[in-house]
Parts: sequence; structure tokens; C-alpha cells
Amino acid sequence: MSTRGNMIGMKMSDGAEIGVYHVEPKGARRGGLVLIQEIFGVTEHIKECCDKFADEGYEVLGPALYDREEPGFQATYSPEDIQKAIKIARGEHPFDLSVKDTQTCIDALKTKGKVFITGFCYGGTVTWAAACKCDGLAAASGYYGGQIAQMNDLNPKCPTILHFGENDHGIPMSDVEKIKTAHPDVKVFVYPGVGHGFNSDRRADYNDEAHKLGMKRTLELFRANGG
Amino acid sequence: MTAQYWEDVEIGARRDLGCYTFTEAEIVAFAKKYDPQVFHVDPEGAKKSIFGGIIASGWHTAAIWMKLAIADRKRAPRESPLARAGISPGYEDMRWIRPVRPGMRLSYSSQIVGKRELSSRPDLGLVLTRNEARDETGALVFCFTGKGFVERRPRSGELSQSHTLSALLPSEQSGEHP
Amino acid sequence: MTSTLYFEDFHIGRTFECGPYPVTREEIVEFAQEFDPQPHHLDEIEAQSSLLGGLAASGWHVCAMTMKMFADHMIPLMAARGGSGSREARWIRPVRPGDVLRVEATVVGTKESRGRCDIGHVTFECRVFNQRELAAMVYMTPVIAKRGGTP
Repeated sequence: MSTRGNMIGMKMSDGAEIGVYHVEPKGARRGGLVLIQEIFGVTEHIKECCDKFADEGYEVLGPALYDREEPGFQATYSPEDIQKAIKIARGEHPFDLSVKDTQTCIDALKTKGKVFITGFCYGGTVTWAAACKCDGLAAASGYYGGQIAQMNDLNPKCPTILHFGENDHGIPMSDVEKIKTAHPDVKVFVYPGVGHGFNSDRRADYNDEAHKLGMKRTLELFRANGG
Repeated sequence: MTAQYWEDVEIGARRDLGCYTFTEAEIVAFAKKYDPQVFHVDPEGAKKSIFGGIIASGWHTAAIWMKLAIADRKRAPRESPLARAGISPGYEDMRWIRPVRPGMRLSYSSQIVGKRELSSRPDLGLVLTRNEARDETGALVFCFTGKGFVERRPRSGELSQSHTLSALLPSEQSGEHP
Repeated sequence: MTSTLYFEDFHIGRTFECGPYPVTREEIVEFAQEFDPQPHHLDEIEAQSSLLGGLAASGWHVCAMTMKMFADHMIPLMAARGGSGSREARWIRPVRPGDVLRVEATVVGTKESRGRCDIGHVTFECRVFNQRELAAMVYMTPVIAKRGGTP
């Protein structure tokens, strides 16, 4: 399946230029969307996710967050690549830089209308942090962010939904409960019987039903908030 | 000697916040606005209720605690452990134990019962208080556990900063302070 | 005409929608002057350099507005005998002039009275939302409800 967007270069707030996958909406423009990668970089899968949202009427920007550390970084799901990706995510790349880069992408889209955000895994955590810290977001939908429970004392500035797999080995249900309790205004969806990464059809945990339901909920959220 | 920073606050320190006498007119005025149950707003209806007469809203009793607490901090900024207190993340365990009737004179007090550092904020600490109102016989009428963020002493060489992003309001997630 | 709700009618999970309550600057300042005269509840300029980042209602005022919404909705519905307190209260976000609040009150617990057969205790979790569907406050409150069939 070939993707229909383009990698463009965008200058970030620290002056560095990183690659950003950009795809125009099909049909009438409903709004802008920043889509945040997993730890594997802006892969074909992430580009396909961006295209799917573009099909629904969103102009999408998917920043390649690790381009400063490893230009053009893309990892497979092999154990070696996963280790390399984790090394960058947890060691070399400052998390705050991802939030700043997200703000730059929001700023690029907000002159044209409402801006939304979604992200998966590492991108789910960035989505949460952006919902809490960035300006100009109309709504946020974060998937299985592993560090969200560690950022539990932040409060989102916009309506936010989160998605977790019931059987996610990396995110215990006790963490999910902590998030639910602290944030009565955040709809936390738990997908029964699925594990981490359920939205990605490249991963063993992919679950088509959960993917479709998550997408439906995300689009409903965006539409309810001007998108 | 300046007002106490979080580091100076002593566990066990107690303040008498003073007395307050509730009148029927102000009980009814508050309750008409904020707690319009019959036994708070209607003298005739209140007589027929289980309380036998007008009683103050529990929220009014609580609001008077706040009124007296702020007055105490302003009146005695060096003595009050909470003179540098700002906002609060919430409270626990508020109990309206006995009815507060018109003419009743309540004595309010506040005692420091705990302190906690905040992992999310180096410039603020949390202080826990046990707050009470007692009637003229000394019986406990109202109590709750309060929480307040108190400025920490600026480290030498650093200016203390004010953070104004409302999305970064601190909560109490932190380690325990002995 | 809806019939009165008694203790037995409050099953866990039942939610009541209360409100709306439009919040005005005048009312924020009036309440604060009387009960919580701190600068960040009284003056916009002073409030901007505070943690609240702008004029906001006293947390006690938010409690009071919540009680008003709850009472307005629930008193006509239920045979209540007052509340006994409030716990696990969190002031989550500032409430600003122009906000419109609403309350979702959900039954989270019911308990028969140990000493009395004519009343029971119903605990509500009250969640206060602003017009952007963001939570301003949460607290639990036990309410005393008459049992069915008693005068």
C-alpha cells in the first residue's frame, strides 16, 4: 500500500530541521491533526495512519521526532530494532523536545482551523503531555502511552480520551485506574482482551475490531470539538 | 523575622482562629443562595423538620472557617504557619457533626498535622491541617483535614519564580515528609 | 409529576445531571470578599501572578455553587434529610468568570443506618464540569435519605 503524502523539512523551535510527513485532506478540510509516532520513527505504518486520517478530512503532520539523533530513523519490530529505538527514546532524546516539536506542528496548522492530536505508544505519552502543556489543541486522543501515569499530576487543557489494551504487559490496569481517578473528565477506554500496540497492523497485538472502535471514538471526539 | 516558609512550619503548631456567632438572617441568606434545603431557609418549615428549627448549611460553617483563617494569617503574619499559603488542591474528611443553630457561638481552630514535599514543584510544599469548630460546651461541631501549598524558602542565589500556567497546577503526588 | 425517590431507589451507578450555573465575575468577587479575601479571588492583575494565572473563584465558592446545583435538582426528587459531610475533595482546575458549570452526581455507595430503620445513607460522587467538559472539582458526599414507606 503506497502512501500519498510527502516528507517535508520543518524548522523546529531550536533551529534544527526535522522531517515531517505531510498529507493533505481528501475532500473538505475538517481540521489539522498532529500524529505522533511510536518509538520506531515515522514508518510506513505511521504514514498509513496519517493517510487514514487525511481520508477523513484532516491535514496531517507527522513529525520524525528522532531526526536530530538519527536522521531518517525508522525501525522494524525486530528485537534489535526495538532495543535501538528504546535507547533513543529513553536515553538520547529529551522528552520535552518532542513536546516543543509538537507545539511547532500545532502552530503550523492552527492558522487554518482547529487542530487535534493523536499518537501511539511513545506518541500516546507525547499526546497526553501536549494536551496538558501545549496551546491551540481542540482535542486529544492518546493510545497506550506508557508514561502517562507518571504524568498524572498534569491536567489536559482540552477534551482528551485515552485508549489502553486490557492485557498490556507494560501498562498495568492499576496505572490506568490511577489515571481514571485523577481525571474525571478524561474518557479512558480499556479494550478487553487486547495487548499493547493493538492499533498497529504491523504488530502481533493488532486487533482489527479494537482499531476500528478506537478510530470511531477518536473521530467522534474530533467532530464534537469542531473537527 | 519574616513569615514562615514551608521549611519553618512546625507539625503540631495550633492557631485559635477566633469565634463566630451565626445569626438566623445570615444563615438564611447564605442558604437561599447556595443550599436551599428547607431546614436552612424556611423558619416555619424548619420547625417541622427533624432539626426542629433553622440550622446553618455545612458549607456556610466551612466558609466561615476560611474567613477566620485568612483574617488570622493577615493579622499575625509572623505567627501564622500559613501566612505564605496560597491555593489548595482540596480537602479530606469534612464532617458536619452537630447542627449549628442561630445564636450559636463557634470557636474555630487550625492545627498543622503534616507536611509533604511535592515531586512536581521545587518551590512549593504541601501542608496538612486539622481544622475544627466547637460550640460553647467544647463539643466538636465541624471538622475537616485541610491542605495548602506553602512557598518554600528560595535557595540562596536563586530568585523564587512564579509559575502561572494553570495546566501545571500542582497536585500532592510526592514522597512523604517525616 | 415524578414520584419521590427513597433510599431504595438509589442504585449504584445512577447518575443525576445538575445545573447549569453561569459564573460571573461579580459573584466570584462578592463571595471572596465575604469568605475568602485572597488577592487571586478578588483582583485580575494580582491573580495573574498567582498560581491560578488569572481571577478564579474560591474553592469554597465552587463547593457552594455545586451544592446549589445539587439541591436545585435533587430536593424536588428525593426525600432527603440533609448531608453529613464531604470527603476526597479535589479542586482540579480554576473556575473563571464566564464559565458555566454543571454537576454529574453519581451514586457510588449506599448504606443502611445502623441505629434507625427510617433512613439510609447514599454517597454521591459529584463531578463538576465547565463548559469545555473539563473537570473543575470532584468530591464525595454522603446524603441521608428517607426509606420508602416511612412518613
